[in-house]
Amino acid sequence: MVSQAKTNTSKSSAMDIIKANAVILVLLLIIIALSVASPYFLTVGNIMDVAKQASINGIIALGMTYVITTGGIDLSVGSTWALSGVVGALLMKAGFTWPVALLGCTAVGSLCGYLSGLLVTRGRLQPFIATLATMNVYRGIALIITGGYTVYGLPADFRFIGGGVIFSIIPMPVIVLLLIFIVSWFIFKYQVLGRYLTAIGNNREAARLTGINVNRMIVMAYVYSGLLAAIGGGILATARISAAEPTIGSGAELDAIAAVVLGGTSMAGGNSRVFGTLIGAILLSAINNGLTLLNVPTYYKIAVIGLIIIAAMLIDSFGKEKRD
Amino acid sequence: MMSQHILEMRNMRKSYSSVVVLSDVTIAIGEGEIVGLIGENGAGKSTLMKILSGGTQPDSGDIIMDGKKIEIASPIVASQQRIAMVQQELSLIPSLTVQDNIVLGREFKTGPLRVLDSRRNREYSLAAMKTVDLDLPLDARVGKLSVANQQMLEIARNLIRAPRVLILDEPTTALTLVEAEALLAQMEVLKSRGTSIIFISHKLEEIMRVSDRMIVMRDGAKVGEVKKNEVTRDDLVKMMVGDKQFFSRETSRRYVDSKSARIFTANNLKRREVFEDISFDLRAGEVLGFFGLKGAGRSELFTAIFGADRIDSGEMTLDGHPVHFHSPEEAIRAGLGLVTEDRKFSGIFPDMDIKNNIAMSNMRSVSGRFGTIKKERITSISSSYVKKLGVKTTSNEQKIRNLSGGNQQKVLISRWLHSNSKVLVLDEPTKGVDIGAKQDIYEQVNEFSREGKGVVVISSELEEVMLLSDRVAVMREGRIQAILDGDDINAETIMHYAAG
Repeated sequence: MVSQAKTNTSKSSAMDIIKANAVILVLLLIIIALSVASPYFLTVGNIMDVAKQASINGIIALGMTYVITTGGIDLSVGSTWALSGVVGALLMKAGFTWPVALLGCTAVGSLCGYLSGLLVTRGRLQPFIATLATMNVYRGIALIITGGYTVYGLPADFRFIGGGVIFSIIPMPVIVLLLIFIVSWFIFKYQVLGRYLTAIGNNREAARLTGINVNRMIVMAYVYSGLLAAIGGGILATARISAAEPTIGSGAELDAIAAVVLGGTSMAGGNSRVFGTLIGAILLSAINNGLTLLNVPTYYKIAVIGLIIIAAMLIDSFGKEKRD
Repeated sequence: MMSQHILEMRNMRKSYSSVVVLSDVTIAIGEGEIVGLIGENGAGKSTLMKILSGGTQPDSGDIIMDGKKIEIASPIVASQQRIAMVQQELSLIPSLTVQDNIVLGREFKTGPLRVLDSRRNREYSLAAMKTVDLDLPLDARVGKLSVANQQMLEIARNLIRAPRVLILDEPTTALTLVEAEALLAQMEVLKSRGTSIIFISHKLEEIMRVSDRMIVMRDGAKVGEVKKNEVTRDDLVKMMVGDKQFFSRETSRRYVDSKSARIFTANNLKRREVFEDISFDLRAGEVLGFFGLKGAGRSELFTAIFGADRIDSGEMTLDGHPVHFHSPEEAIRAGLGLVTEDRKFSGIFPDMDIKNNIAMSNMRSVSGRFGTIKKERITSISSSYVKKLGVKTTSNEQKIRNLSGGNQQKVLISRWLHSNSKVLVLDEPTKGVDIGAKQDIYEQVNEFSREGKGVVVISSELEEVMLLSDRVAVMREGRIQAILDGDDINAETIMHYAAG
């Protein structure tokens, strides 16, 4: 009896590990498949490309993970990207140095998140509705202050942030992504804030009655999401193309959500995987990159990415069912 | 007397990973028989019934119905075999009406477009409610009904489908005495019509009264099977708990006297249409019971005192200082703690582990500067509470949702031990909790008062209030009718004020 029970445990824990890391397995499979299909895929240069392409979405998705943990969602990240980007660019055009512009850009991003957070908490709006509205508001403001035109001609030392390379191999955005991942992961795993967000997503009423300042914590999650949208989009993306477009970043919220759920985070809240989000973003980027290398036409690529998301989610869903 | 068995469960075994929940259990039920199934939480009753109603599959064992072996692969198969289970947790849909809920899944349709046949649906719904003498407006939203009415509705919905075997899992927990009586009477009627009933309850008096036979389970095994009137209540309790020590009035000691400081006072508290004229004080080391029937306003009063709801007027003091809490956060910081009535809705963080569930009320004490959590500290502190309260678990990294009700409750009480509350309010602390855990919780209440804390116990169980309290406040219709002490704490006096 005892020995039987023991094998059961070890079997189930092995299954648990596989399930918890399903996205990593999928990533490995995709990497193997793509490197067989294209000899160029596993070269250092291309790996850095994949990482670079993952960085903007990865950073935004890490912020999104925080919001989703609380049981919410932030649809305004794409617009926040555009608005914070044009504000930063206009500041530079107005003669401010780029560090000042960066401060302005991140302040705008944080403010965008703050307002969404207030609507969700004080205004008691559904997160989907609140951020659907702010998505439009922020986009509108970005278009108004630029008159709809792209802001060009940014300083060269600013461009380094987006296009520069460190140790003559690692792109700057990848460094930023890793730093932000470490911070996000640390806060989530080792800080009280992370525990509180998880608790709120688990049971909001219980969190309130346990003395957690639920509204403040939720607002902080949205501020973090806005801040990361400004860093990933407003700064890195703007610096990379050395221009700020008021129309950029539409659809970014969906890419971010895709990375989050691929990473194994529950959309219902209370059950998040920060590391999973990072892997999810890399996975999306790897697929995109691989399909390009294989000369798959763009329209097909879009459909294939959708199919891969479905497949990954189905694996996850069936895994859960079996456990019950 | 021995009737033909219509249903047998033979040699049922089931384990979840390493935990054996059923080890070789065999039970049988005859036509028109009421079988009482008793045992502590975690004894395996619910799992056994979940297997019978198709909610889960046994690892091994046979189910025999009418002499034929059957497989109950899903709740649908169970319902085809006319086995119905009224769950402890209601399966009604709150946003739908009474009628919609009754006909749900078997709506009558009419015409070529198969539109709902409102006349037949209505007749069916009325007939369903008649099975338990329930009289509710058919278009009322179920979410607005009292818990008792919801419970009766759930039973009615199952009864109209004329089950051969009806499983009732703790059906009277949410009911008032009168409603419970009505349900028990209804069970006798069903029995006389040939329905077989398996009845799970923690209330031994009712089980002993209506059951023809009682099966006692402990730790996943059947430990006894007795006929009606063969045993006393004490015998049953002994079978259920094995050789565990009992908490009784003799072992309970009082830690309060007229010299004890007034730790908390309330003066003239009012919240419009919920409670008014509320004045009481609580001394250090005192256990103040709050008794009342459902809807008397007890939970609402303490939720408001705790800062989770508005108070319109009145004053409060804590340790002699005037206080008014705008949020639970403020109340907790000042030294209040509240174990809520509804563990699932407002107590536990289901997907989080035991240690975080305990530490959540006072994260500051387990984290360093900049809010970084100290892993060893959170682990050692939670382990000490798990040990102190006797939470049954393999590790404190176990998710709380995997624990039984009694063990969850112990974790929630630990939460307020951890935050060092001076005044602790326990709202129905032993609701849905087995006898063993109940004793542990009673001992903990005693411990609180020994340490000089003020304890408020809100309870609908007369026995519990009488057992624990130094004084008993009786509430009815949002007012304190009387605060009783000494010899006035007896069932007749308390009920006199509670029922008006």
